[in-house]
Amino acid sequence: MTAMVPTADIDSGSGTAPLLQVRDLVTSIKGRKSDVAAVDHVSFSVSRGEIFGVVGESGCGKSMTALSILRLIPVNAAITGGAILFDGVDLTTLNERAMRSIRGNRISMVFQEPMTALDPSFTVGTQITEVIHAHSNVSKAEARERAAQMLDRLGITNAASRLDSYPHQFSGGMRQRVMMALALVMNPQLLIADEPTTALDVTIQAQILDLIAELRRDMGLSVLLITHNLGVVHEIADRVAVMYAGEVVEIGPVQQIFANPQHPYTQGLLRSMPYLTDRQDRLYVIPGRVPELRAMPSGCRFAARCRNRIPICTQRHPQLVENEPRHALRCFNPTPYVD
Amino acid sequence: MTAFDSSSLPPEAPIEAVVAVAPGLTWGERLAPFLANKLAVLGAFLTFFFLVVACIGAAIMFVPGWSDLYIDQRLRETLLRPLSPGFPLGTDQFGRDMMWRIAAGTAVSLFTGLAVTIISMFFGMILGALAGYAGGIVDRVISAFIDLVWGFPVILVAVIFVGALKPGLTAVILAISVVNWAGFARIVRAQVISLKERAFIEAARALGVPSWKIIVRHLVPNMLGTSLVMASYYIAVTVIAEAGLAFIGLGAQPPTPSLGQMISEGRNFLYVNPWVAILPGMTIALIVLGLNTLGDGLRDIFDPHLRRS
Amino acid sequence: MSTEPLLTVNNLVKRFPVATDFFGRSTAFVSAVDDVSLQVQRGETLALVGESGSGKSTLARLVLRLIEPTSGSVRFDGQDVLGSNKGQMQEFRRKAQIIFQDPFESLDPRMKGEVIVAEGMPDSGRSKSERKARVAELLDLVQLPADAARRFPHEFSGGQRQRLSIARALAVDPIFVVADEPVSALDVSMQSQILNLMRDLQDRLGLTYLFISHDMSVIRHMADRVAVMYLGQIVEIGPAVEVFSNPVHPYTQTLLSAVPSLIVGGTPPTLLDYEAARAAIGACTGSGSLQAVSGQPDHMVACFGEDAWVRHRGRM
Ligand SMILES: Nc1ncnc2c1ncn2[C@@H]1O[C@H](COP(=O)(O)OP(=O)(O)OP(=O)(O)O)[C@@H](O)[C@H]1O
Ligand SMILES: Nc1ncnc2c1ncn2[C@@H]1O[C@H](COP(=O)(O)OP(=O)(O)OP(=O)(O)O)[C@@H](O)[C@H]1O
Ligand code: SF4
Ligand SMILES: [Mg+2]
Ligand SMILES: [Mg+2]
Repeated sequence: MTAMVPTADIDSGSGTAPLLQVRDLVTSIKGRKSDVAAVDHVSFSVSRGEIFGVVGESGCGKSMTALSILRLIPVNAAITGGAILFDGVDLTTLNERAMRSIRGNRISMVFQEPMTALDPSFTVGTQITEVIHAHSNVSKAEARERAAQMLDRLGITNAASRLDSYPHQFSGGMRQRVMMALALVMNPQLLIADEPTTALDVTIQAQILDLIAELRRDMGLSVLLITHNLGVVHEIADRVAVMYAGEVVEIGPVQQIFANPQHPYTQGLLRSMPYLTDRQDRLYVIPGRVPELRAMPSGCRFAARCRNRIPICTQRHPQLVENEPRHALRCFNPTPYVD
Repeated sequence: MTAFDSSSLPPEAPIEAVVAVAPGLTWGERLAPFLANKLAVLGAFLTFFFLVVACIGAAIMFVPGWSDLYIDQRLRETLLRPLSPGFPLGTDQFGRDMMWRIAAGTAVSLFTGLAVTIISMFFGMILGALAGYAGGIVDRVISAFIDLVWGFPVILVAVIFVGALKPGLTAVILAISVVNWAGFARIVRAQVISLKERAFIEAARALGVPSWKIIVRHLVPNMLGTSLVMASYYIAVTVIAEAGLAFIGLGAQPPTPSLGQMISEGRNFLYVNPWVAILPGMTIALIVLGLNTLGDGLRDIFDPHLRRS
Repeated sequence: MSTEPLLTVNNLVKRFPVATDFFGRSTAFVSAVDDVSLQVQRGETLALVGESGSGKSTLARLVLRLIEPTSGSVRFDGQDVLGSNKGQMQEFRRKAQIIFQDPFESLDPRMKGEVIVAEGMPDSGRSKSERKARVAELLDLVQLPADAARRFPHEFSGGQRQRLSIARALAVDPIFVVADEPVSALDVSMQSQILNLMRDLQDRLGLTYLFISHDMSVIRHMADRVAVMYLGQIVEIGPAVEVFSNPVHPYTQTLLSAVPSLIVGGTPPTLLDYEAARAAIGACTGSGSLQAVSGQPDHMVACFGEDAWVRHRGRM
């Protein structure tokens, strides 16, 4: 049954060429002795109008993957392999100028850390209108109007009057929505959202997810959604990739993965979730911790924490293998999920 | 100064990128981004080179008797080209040795730059920090003052100072400082405002740590890096401003050698020996290039938020 | 004495100026906290949930007097916090601590673990080696490895950093800890770790928590009582079991029904319709005032009208 497939082929199955195709991406961090791969041969694709989720433990390379797409990786990191095709063009080969015209315009990003992303010394309004002016030719008043509209759609009350506030005068969740406004105001084709709803209560979160769904329906927006919140992924994403220690360990349609998670790590994640209806005595915790980038085991990277470990796990590195249509995983010994 | 136009920068460096440069790394690791930036290494090299030159220049200016090296006029050997026997960089219209003149001029430029930067940093930091920390009406008044001063043209201020004092380095240093502190103050103010809102400052307050301790233990160490980066840019800016003022005769007065003044005098001899103008010009260009690229490199070490990829 | 609540907040108000003229006079305000009163009993966990921007963090900072209120009073352990002098404030800061939302932001990147943990310890009365021993003890308490003392924040994972800030808060032996969204920046597995740890510490040290979160399932796991905030006011407050199984205020109902289906598990709470909800809170006297839900004396709901009903439930 199981067949080895080039991982880039696991796409949405829609048949049309995907908007974004990440192929065997390797992003390395320069080290003293040798470089280490923070993103290690990661492949996935996002179709037009698709919402693609990425989940995984803190430090597993989710943000690095996103930053690589926009080529905003830190200076001590470099894309050392693979290709990133956006609308047929390989972004890794573009020059900085061409990249700049894509950023914020055709691909925009909501960064994980709103306080470092917003400039504390400018008002929120200035920062949003600046983006509008950078990519289009509109009057000042018009840009302000658009900025206010966007904030309003994101559920900020009295949006117009709050344009003159500084970021520190906003609550955590409001800052996150300012980031969102910055990203959406130019109607991008692809939105990369890195933890866009961590600081939001469920009602606003629902409102923002609705807005994303609406933009997807009306404008064909594609979304790469990075989050810790499995509920959000379940709610809105079409497909999901689970990352662990720089690699994709499971990828497939959301319904399949949540109903029937195969990889022991994915199962651990689902098991650790607190549920609304009952007060568990102790929450499940995946034992151990993620291996250091510098000391990656040569076998399965999850082996030290895995309940299903068998001898081969520490000897050979598992490959990403499709085990049902469009659902692939990287594991020698998958077992059915029991809660 | 486009280097500080942070609004056009990529909005975020990933968290790990921020901390990757924090202390706790070995020096090798901390210097890695710097060493990876070939230009920065070149900048560090250039800056170091000119610092050595400046020290030699200062020595020959101040050690009694050595000043003959650049003051002695050899009227039979005027306007020699570089690589002439005995004069590696040639001589000027009075037959003075260009090599020693440039060394002395470099000393004047760099030490003027340092003096101005120390003065402006002192006042800029105090006022900027005060405005940022106090907020409210204090901030408003200081900020309005900063904006006003920052708008002054340096040349105009210099003319006023030269009129009030007399042409010379003191007037130049005062004139540039009077404008430059505002540049520091702006950035320090922004830094303090953003640091003040950081949760770790609030956490310290919640623990009952007194204000002065918060300033000494949290604010100052977290601003040091940026200040160093800014300082390197500002020295470069001052070197250019000093040269400009000297060029129009408002700067250091002969016999104090100054690179700007050398270009200005050399203009008259371009057809005979263009090197008397080109060499000091190149020196200024290289000093500024060195400082700026060094600044970029330092920025990578200290302030990843300002990084571009 | 011991029956008096640990924390009593009365009619607390905080208005922030959002627009000022040149002279710094305020011309427009945001009422971040608008007449809030509540009590926290010793040893319990009161969870604060509410819309983003509804004033939860502001309330937390007011309670700890990190900012000054516009009006109102805060009593803590028999002490009038707002009227305290410097010495009394030091005493208060020792007893009441805060853990921040963001494990990246709330630790000074330039300080080592031991310096961070020891920051709030009084300088006097302890020798250097005693301080070191106390730091080691605290690191052990939050289950961090001993070498954490010599590491810088960036050398920890997000969950470990959050443990470090918990250790820092515990270093002054507090009896009351405000946790402002302590787990929302963490992945589910680390989130579980921290929540387990917080419950263990409560059991061992008898801590009282004011626990702010927007994640209903996390609150369900941690809280004894829940207060729901909306636009600076408390609209519903009561035992967690009752609020979760029988939400009355339309905003609480919306909140519970907006929880992503994946984490509901089992049967979602039953929602009342307008008539039933109104009937549950009996006669409304003044609008906005808290009324007991009939049959549940500890469960209070702000009196609401049809407009509020439409505003909240209409969104669903
Ligand atoms: N500038 C940097 N220098 C060194 N290591 C880095 C740098 N930036 C990221 N890393 C490392 O790269 C790995 C991937 O980081 P990344 O930010 O992509 O994680 P993430 O999956 O987004 O985690 P989180 O969920 O916590 O945001 C981590 O191990 C991190 O420590
Ligand atoms: N320093 C300030 N200046 C002006 N307004 C402020 C300030 N701090 C908070 N506010 C305003 O007060 C209101 C409440 O903010 P607060 O941070 O308490 O909300 P919150 O409930 O914690 O929200 P979140 O869940 O998004 O963190 C918001 O409208 C915010 O803009
Ligand atoms: S390969 Fe082995 S160790 Fe790795 S996840 Fe699968 S069963 Fe566990
Ligand atoms: Mg990330
Ligand atoms: Mg908050």
